[in-house]
Amino acid sequence: MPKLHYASLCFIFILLAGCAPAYPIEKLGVINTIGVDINQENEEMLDSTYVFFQFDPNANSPNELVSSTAKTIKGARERANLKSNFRLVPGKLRVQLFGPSIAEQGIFSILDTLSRDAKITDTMYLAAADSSAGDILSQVFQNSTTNVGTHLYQLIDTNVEQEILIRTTLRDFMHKYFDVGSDPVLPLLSVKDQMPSITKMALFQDDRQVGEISTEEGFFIKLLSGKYQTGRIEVDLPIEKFESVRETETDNRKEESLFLALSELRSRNKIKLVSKEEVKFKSEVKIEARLVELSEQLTLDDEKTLHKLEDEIAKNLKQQINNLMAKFKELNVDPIGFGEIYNTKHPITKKEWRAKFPEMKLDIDLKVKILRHGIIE
Amino acid sequence: MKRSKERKSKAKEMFPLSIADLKKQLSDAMHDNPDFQLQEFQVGASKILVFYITVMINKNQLNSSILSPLLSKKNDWTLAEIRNKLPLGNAALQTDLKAIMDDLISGAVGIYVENEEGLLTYLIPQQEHRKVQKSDKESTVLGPQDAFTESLDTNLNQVRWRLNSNDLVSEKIIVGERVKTEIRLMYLKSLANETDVQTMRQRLQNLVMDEIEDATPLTYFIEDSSMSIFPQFYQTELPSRFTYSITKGKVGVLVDKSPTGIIAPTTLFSFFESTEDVFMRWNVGSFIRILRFVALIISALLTPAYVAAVTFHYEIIPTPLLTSLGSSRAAVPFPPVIEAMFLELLIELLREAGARLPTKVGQTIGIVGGIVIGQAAVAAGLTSNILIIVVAISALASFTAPSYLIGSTIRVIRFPMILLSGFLGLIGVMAGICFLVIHLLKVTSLGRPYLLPAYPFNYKDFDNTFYRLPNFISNLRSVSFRPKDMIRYKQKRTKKMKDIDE
Repeated sequence: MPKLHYASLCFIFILLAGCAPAYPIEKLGVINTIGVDINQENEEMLDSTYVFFQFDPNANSPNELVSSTAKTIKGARERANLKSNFRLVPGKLRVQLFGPSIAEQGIFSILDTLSRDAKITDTMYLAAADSSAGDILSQVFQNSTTNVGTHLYQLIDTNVEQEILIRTTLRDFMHKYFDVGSDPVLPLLSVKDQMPSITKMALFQDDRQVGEISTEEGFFIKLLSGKYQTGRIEVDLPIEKFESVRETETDNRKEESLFLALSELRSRNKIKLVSKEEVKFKSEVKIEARLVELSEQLTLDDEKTLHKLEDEIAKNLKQQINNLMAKFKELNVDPIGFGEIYNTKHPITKKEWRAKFPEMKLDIDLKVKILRHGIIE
Repeated sequence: MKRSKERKSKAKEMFPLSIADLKKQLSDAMHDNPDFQLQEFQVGASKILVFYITVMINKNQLNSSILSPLLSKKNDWTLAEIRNKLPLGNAALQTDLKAIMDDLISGAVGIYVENEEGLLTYLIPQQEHRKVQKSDKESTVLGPQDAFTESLDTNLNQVRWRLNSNDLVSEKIIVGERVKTEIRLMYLKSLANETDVQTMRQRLQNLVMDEIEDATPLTYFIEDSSMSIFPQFYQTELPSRFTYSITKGKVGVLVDKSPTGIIAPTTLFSFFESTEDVFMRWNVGSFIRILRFVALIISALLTPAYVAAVTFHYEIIPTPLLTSLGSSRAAVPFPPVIEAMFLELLIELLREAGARLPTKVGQTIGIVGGIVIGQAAVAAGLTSNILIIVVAISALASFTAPSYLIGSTIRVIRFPMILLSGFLGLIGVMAGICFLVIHLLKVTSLGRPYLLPAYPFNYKDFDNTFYRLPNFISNLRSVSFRPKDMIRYKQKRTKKMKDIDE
């Protein structure tokens, strides 16, 4: 009998606690992509554009676009809700897009609310835009023939999966942002032929966008800070150095450079702090790759040619890295994270590292190995 | 003590008596039953009374083995002489009216020679029962196909025939105050755990009840926890399964008039084992067994998970699925709980109707219900078509369990789970799972934990429970049930293959 009392007591407790707040999906507008800009007329206000799914059996497409203006991100969502007959929820937010206006001022306050919200996944992608984020989203909304809601997400995701882009999720961004001596990078979207494409990488100093590099240059950030499993790269080498090994009988084209493509690229990389006083680093990079394309015919069966090719590629890559480093120093951004390595040995503050970074030196030891070059008849 | 003495002296007083007196006493005890036959014969100088219940005895045997030798003799009979001369082995000398009645109702013929000190009974019962048939409740593809019947004799024959060893013990226990039923407790003397045998014996012997309908209701009287929804003894109608368990050191119970054998102790997991797993190759057998465990989880949790996801946790639905799920849900006017309950109810109705109706009509009902109502319900906007798939999968999964009892248990568990998920989402489902796990931890079968070998954890038994291993590795009986002999065969010998040269 006392057991029965306990049971009824428990039941009453459950009733008192009430039900969990329900989110029946047929009543939801599930936000997929948000674009944020600063309002042009009022600098204090934020323009937010939402692409979301709504579920209406009679509608042709489940996608819908709504924009609103408010002082905070959450406030903007409330405003947007007034324009939609569905309840806007951020639980499946996949891409957050930042217009140049806000990216240049700093995006941390927005990211902070995103990472605090338990409903929002940390693996969502962040991206910068070269024109207003709202414009880009409405361009996609009007012109995309595929699923509008997931267009941007898939655009970034497929390229990240193929290791063409660096992974730039919310978690990665926050990680780099909070680490001493490390700066985040985001893909930069622009509209070409009325469709969005990733043209460049945006460089961030803390949470402010300060510059941009090409996606090809973005390759080196990952080369130096992580490792490739199946990467790919294009290299162009001066043709003069290969005159002796050209198969001239079969190929008579006259071009200035030799273009080649490497794929299935695997890399390993180790950066060491050599000297604290000089802020000198030494980086050992090993690359193994398959040669899949050559613009000229070379005597690849000869090992010497292959070695020469390997050396020239290494030289070229090294040169490119040095150019990139010069650009980084000029902008005083450290996306590779040399400061992190410095910090592990000699604790340092962010400010101190900013002062030291332009003076840092990098010694690169880069080795390329071509594993296979295919069977060429 | 005093009373039994009195009764004995009274019984002694009953014989000798005249045929007329005996007739009167027997008729009174039988309440003037029209099937009760009393025949009086005069052979020589002795008067003989032969009596029996006509529907219970084999009449051919009565004529050939009792009446014709009895009547063909010219001189007088005495009881001793009858005992010696009649070509029947199982004569019993009875002096007590109650014992005589017991014999009569189990199909005996009584013979009394006037003024003798007692009477003889011969058991020549005739029981009508069906022949040994294929099992349709627990059908298997591989292995023996025969099933138990309602006759204990036939069932014992099948078991004895499979386990033809003098190690097989079969203890006779009579249960039932008003209607007596014979129960056989069977085990292998050299293997079965003494405690298990003793526990089962004690439970059967201590059972005081009017009558038992069948083996299945019997288990409800002797199981460990009557409040639990989980069956604690395995019930099978396959003699192969019955004997297989006995050879693993378990205890079996057969009940007269019931086509079901009871096996104990049992764990939750053994309800998902089929003898077929043993007949399969070990890797195929493992796959199918694991498939059944997956089916258990699907069957209990898939619909609740759908309800929870659609009502509370839209985040966990993959984006491509979200759009199709959303648009199919948008047409439905009810909340997901009611929608799911409606469909689950429909499936249960179909199952019940199919089981009650004759086979041919049952099939038609299945088609009408499954296809017509399913289609119409979607078209009418009562349910979403994705939920129909979900419910159908979980219904299908619940039928993969080899034991019908556990299958229906899981189907019942699903309903509170759906309600919980409808009110509290995945938190509710988790609460439900926790409740079930806590409950299962406390359930025992014949005093042994129900979750063996997962809890108490015993890795050695995993190959006998969750998966199968090749025979040269898996050579032990279940450690959890502590049989007297652990080793089924020596491991080394199976590894050594005799080559053709040797």
